[in-house]
Amino acid sequence: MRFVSPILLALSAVLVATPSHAQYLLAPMDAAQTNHLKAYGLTYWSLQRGLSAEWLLNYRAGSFLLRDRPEVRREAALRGVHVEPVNASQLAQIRATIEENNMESIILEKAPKIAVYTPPNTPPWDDAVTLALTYADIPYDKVWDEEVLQGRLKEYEWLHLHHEDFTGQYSKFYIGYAGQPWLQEEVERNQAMAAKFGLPDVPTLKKNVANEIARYVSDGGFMFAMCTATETIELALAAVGVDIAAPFSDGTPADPDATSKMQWDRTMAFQGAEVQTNPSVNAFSDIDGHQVNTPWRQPLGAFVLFDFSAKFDPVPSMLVQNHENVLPDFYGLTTSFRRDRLKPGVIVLAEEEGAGWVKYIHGTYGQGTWTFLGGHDPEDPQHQIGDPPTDLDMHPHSPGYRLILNNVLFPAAKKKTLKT
Amino acid sequence: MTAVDATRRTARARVAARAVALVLLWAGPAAAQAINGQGGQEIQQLREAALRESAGDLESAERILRSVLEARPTSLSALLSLERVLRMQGRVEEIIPPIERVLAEDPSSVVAHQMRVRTYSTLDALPELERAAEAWIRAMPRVETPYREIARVWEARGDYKQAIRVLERGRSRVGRKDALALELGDVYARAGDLDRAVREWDRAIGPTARGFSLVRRRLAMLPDGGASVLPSLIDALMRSSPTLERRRAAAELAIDAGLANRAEEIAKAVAADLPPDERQGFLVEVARRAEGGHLYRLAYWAYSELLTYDGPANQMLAVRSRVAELALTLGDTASARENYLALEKAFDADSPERRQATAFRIELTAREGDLDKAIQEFAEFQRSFKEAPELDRLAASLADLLLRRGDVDRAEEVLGRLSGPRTSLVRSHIALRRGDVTAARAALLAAAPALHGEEATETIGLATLLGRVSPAGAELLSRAMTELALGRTQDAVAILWAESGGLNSVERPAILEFAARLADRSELETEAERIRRAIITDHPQAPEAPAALLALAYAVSARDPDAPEARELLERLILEHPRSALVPQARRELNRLQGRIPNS
Repeated sequence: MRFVSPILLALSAVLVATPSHAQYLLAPMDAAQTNHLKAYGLTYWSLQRGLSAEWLLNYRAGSFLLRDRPEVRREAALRGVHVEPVNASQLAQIRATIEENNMESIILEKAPKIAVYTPPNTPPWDDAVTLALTYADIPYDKVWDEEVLQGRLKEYEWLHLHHEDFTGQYSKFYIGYAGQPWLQEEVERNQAMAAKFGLPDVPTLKKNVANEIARYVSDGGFMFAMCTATETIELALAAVGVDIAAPFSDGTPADPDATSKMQWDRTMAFQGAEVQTNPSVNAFSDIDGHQVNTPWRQPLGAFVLFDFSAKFDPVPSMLVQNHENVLPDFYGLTTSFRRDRLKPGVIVLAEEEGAGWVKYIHGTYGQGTWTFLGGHDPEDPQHQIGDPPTDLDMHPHSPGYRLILNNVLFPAAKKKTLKT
Repeated sequence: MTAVDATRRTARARVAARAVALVLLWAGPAAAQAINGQGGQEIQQLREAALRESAGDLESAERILRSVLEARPTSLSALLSLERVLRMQGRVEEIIPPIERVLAEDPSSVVAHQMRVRTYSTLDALPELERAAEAWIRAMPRVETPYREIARVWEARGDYKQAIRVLERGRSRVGRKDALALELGDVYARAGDLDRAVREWDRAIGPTARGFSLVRRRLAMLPDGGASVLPSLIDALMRSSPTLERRRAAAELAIDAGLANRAEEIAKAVAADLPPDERQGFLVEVARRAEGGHLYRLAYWAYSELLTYDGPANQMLAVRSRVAELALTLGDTASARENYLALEKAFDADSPERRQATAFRIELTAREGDLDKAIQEFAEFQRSFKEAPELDRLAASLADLLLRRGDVDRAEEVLGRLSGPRTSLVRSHIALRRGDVTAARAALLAAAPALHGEEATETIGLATLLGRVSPAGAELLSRAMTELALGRTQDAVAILWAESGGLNSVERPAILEFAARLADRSELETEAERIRRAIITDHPQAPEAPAALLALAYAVSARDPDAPEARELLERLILEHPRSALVPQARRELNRLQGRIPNS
């Protein structure tokens, strides 16, 4: 015994009543889990090392079944993820339970290659997705306008859009933050990029970028967007030959008839929206139900996740796996999506009951899929510029952040499964 | 208008209109008197417009307000309300024609000029903004207001150069060197030109320091609270026309900035020059501010100076108490003792204040070296105040001094039958000196419940340690505690480190951990690290190992945040001691080192 490594001894102590020859490790995602967010990272880590995994939809709040290897146990211990050894007989019981209930097992076979659309040098604390990916230790590459316009998106399976304003109006921050150095820097950076590609102004640059992103999705990519990116990429796609940007960004006033000229057949999620062409109103259109920076701002409520049939609707089921199904709402420059602006066929994943808006939507576009989640930061509901960054170590069980991470693992599912 | 639009507009209008209605209800009668004849009707219309706005009927509100302005274009209430209603409808540009009509009738209307400039800025219509600004300046070229307001608009747009140009032009037209100095200081500060900001704020303060409070407010609003500009501003106040008022302002700024020497130098010079009636007030202000800012030497000086003044007895005693306490804080035991003696004499014989002052004075006598006299006075004090709460602290203090001299028996004698946390702690030291571990432990446990914070934790920790050690370990601890009692922490640590090698594997890591904590307390970083490395190398499974691993990881990462060793130590803690209460802390530190959470 004296020659046995103390680390191996300790590892065995991590697991209560550890069978010595378990085949699998179950990372439960219900209240027993000690770090929900890092469990996604552990699963991704396993996939990266060629160890396939299973996502047990609706089984103990969407648990993960991992291969039992010493290195997996070590990683689980370091990350603080609770795992339970599962032997053949226990696994048979789990499978029987899944078979008899609204549950399903989804094979995860490949760690998706992730790109985050964000300006260079942006710290991860600036965006909920990069926060979640960083905390869960899921690697990602940063891409921005240059990479998108050079066609580099095809190198990635999953794309997240930082809270970008694709109308090219710098999120209309000039209304409240004119003169701030960070805004000036943002303006200069974007103008330099437009000039680099020989484009006349930033709104035109962003429209081109939006079109490239739409092409990426249409060709089979997975796209996830939050906050302003959801609404503005749609506006940029629909505004073909229409000036929807304030003079601040392109030197000319927006077309007063912009709303009637929008081509909604080009968009993924929305239709029939009224474009906000007033430069002094801090909103982009009437797609957002909350309009946080306007005098007609709506108060926050709570949103409810839908319960889908895991066997027949595995995709939406994956996206709503959670240990809580009623979540407190949180603001963003785009907080929610008005129901009457959704295209037919859009799948609503979460809504505020009784309200005229929904929170979380999903759909297909060409060969690919997109998911939109309104709001900026699930753990900072009133997020203001200059707020301290969210420390996810204080929120390891965040149900809101779980929604983001569901999207990250979703492209890891076996393609065959996704097509059913 | 769709139902959704109506709901939306109702919501946005309600709050604003309620406020307007309230203003009108309050201002109604007065305004009605001011506008004779048709005034009553106008007030009615304005109320009606406010009610419509409150109900979300912005179109009707707008129609009524326009009709008011039709009848009387100079109605500023109607103009302001219309501007708000148009803004909510996203048509703020339509306010320009009504503003132009006001200005046609009253070219000096400040409100109309200001609205026009701000509206053009909102619309990003820069040529129009410049024209409107010129028109306003032409209308009142020698008044500061237009320059100030126009500059604010440029400043809000981030165009500091233009804002400065406008303000400089205003200064030249107004014809006063200090005109618009406050505003120029603000813009220079926002533009990052702190030298010029200081120059302008110096001007704004002026020779009689009239603008001091305004500038001070500005400084407080700077991101660093003014720390970067205060030294230069103080210099400027002392250098250019250093009137008494400006020097007083400089003294206050130096105290606020925590510039102890500078504050003391200026305050003493100012106090010397002030007439007696003003001097007392100045000293009170300096004493209060300096104490609040932890400038104890300056506060001590100011309070001491105040003692030379006559005043009501209770006030003078309060000042004397502050002087005594500050002397103690500054380590001037002679002055402290002298002041406590004065307090003792001044308070009534049976008063608690006198008793407290006596106890302090006896303790200070002992600290100054006259221990025998102090012990004598203590005996008298004990006879006079048998139940005094000060007895515990005073006896412990005297016994501790005796222990430092090696006089254990006499120390025990001073403690006598007194009980209390301080005397219990000294008893534990005496017991350790005599090798009586059980008695030492009992005394520590008796003291612990009445202690607080870190002291309580350390006392319980030492009691626990004593419960685990052999006679050999106890003897070692006893020797270390003796060194500690004499203020020789490094020697205490050295004894524990050098002589613990022969102890068994249960007590050695415990004693080493105790030594490492002593080293931490005295900032003996190298010793602390060496001791902890011994714990994790020689006793990796000891209960003390997790704390040693964590402390070492902190120490290594503080030296080099990228050092792989810090991570390895944390991983060892997590993997080898999974049940340790320190594992969550280790994971957090690991996350921080790997950049997975923000530094906070």
